[in-house]
Amino acid sequence: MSGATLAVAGAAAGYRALVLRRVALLALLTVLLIASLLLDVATGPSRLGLADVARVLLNPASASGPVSVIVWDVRLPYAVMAVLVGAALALAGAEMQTVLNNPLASPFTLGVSSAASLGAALAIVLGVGLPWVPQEWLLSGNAFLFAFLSVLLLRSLSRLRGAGVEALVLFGIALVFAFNAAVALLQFVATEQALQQLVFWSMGSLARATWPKIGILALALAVAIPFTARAAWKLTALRLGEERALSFGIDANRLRDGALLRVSLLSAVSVAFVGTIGFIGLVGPHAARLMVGEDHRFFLPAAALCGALLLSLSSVASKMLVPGLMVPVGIVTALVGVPVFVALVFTRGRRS
Amino acid sequence: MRLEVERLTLGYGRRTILAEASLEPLPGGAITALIGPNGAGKSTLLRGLAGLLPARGSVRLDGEEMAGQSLERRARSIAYMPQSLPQGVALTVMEALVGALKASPTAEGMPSARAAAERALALLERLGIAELALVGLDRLSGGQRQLAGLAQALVRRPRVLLLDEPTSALDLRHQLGVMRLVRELTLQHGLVTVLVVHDLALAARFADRVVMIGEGRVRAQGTPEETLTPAMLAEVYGVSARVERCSHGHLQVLADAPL
Repeated sequence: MSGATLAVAGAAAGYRALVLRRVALLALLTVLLIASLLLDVATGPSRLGLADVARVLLNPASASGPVSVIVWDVRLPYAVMAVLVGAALALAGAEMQTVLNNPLASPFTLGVSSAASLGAALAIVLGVGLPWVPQEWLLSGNAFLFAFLSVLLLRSLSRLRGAGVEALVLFGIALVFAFNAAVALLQFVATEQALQQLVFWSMGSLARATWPKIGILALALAVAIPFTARAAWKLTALRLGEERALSFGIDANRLRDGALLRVSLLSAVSVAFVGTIGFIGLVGPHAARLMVGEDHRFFLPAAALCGALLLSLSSVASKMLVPGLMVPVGIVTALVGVPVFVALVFTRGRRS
Repeated sequence: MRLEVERLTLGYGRRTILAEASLEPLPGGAITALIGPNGAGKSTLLRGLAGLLPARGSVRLDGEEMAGQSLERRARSIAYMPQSLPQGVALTVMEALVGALKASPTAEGMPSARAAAERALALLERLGIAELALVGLDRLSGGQRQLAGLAQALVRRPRVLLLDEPTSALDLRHQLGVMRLVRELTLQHGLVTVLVVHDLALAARFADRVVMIGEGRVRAQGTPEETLTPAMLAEVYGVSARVERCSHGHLQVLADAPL
């Protein structure tokens, strides 16, 4: 065999091994996520052990009232919500970073969370909301509406005079400041009680998880994921540059619009239900990129899994940080996420 | 295969870069080199041929107007290679090639992931860079990046090949290698190949036709002998130059001094 054919045979085997390794990493992340989910359900202030929890889950009829309530109505919704919100935010961040060609893009940094806060603030401070939304959904409804509209606004602003992708990112940052200023104004005029409620809301907490909310978020994911999966190859090709992508027959504007629509849906639903949870949408994609690269067949699911795992671990940590007290998970994500992220960056740096 | 360009006017926004460019029909199986000074509009013309810019005028492939075609349809016949690859992309050479193939159907349809990988590897071998298959794009040298970028255009097996400075970052050996391969593919598949080059010796040696562009207009077109003349070089490039044949009979352009 000549040198060249040897190199080809080696490359072919190497590529197969690379694909296998990426699939294996996805499987590993899934296993870790399941473990984290179980750990999350098994921990809490009420000191129910893993055995009690397993018994209640496997045989709901056997458990006494309070134990069953704790597991089914408190711990499980929290834990499942953490997984879904983490997956949704990280998936949104991953698509955003690709279509905006910017590693700093995330629902948090481009104003989606700030917009949701403004919607929530309007509901809390002024009681303003959509007329046909029932009272208990007013806050979530407002937050969703504003978050969703903020992405549409971002899109239409960038369409004005054919401004480019860079302009879109700058608009996003400008929106963050504008929304934050509006929220600050509302805080300034708010009553003490409303102010407290607003501050707590904006911290982001899984304590708002309920089964109906979980159902809605799962539905949003179920709607978005097939479209995301269909766009995976095109998103990969877009990473090679917009002009190149156009010459591959990809309508970059349409791809971007579709992605932003999914981003707005996923991040708006997440933020509406649990409040502002920063960092996940930014770091989930970065962790995934370091692990599996940017072949979007692997990158997108890896980002979702990383985000889910990170928020699930944060949820566990939020119960352990201060004994007997559940710290809002939005505070914990950065505390847990930053060391994980820095460690990832450093190990990657050493390897190369 | 035949590409016809008539009164093509291109620009960005209100600024016109290239005005009313008409080219003699570009036949299949021939290489056309676009040459001219910096900022003359060479790359703009190439982008215009690729359909990436709003344009007035007409670009027809085998008599069919390109302007009305969807991007996806156009991408079945035309491949365009921009000057550079973006930085900070976490893809290996192979992954990028497979991605380029799977982005939209090629003239032969949409290959399976396995077939795409086989096709990508065969091309890398032909380019002599099979050993780079699993190297990340960000770890490549400038010349290797250029070869990877060229592969991304070639892998779709286009009928029209548009290359923007395919050899600018390459060493002598690879310059010759790439130009030979481009000529081979052009002849073998009857491609319409158009490339922007700065190296006039390469243009003279490998191009069948040369189009000289200056200040947003086509200033001369024809065979290398017809276009590469001291008078045209003085007029368009503003240099005094000699055009001579070397001992192997190749046309050589020797620039002496700026005018």
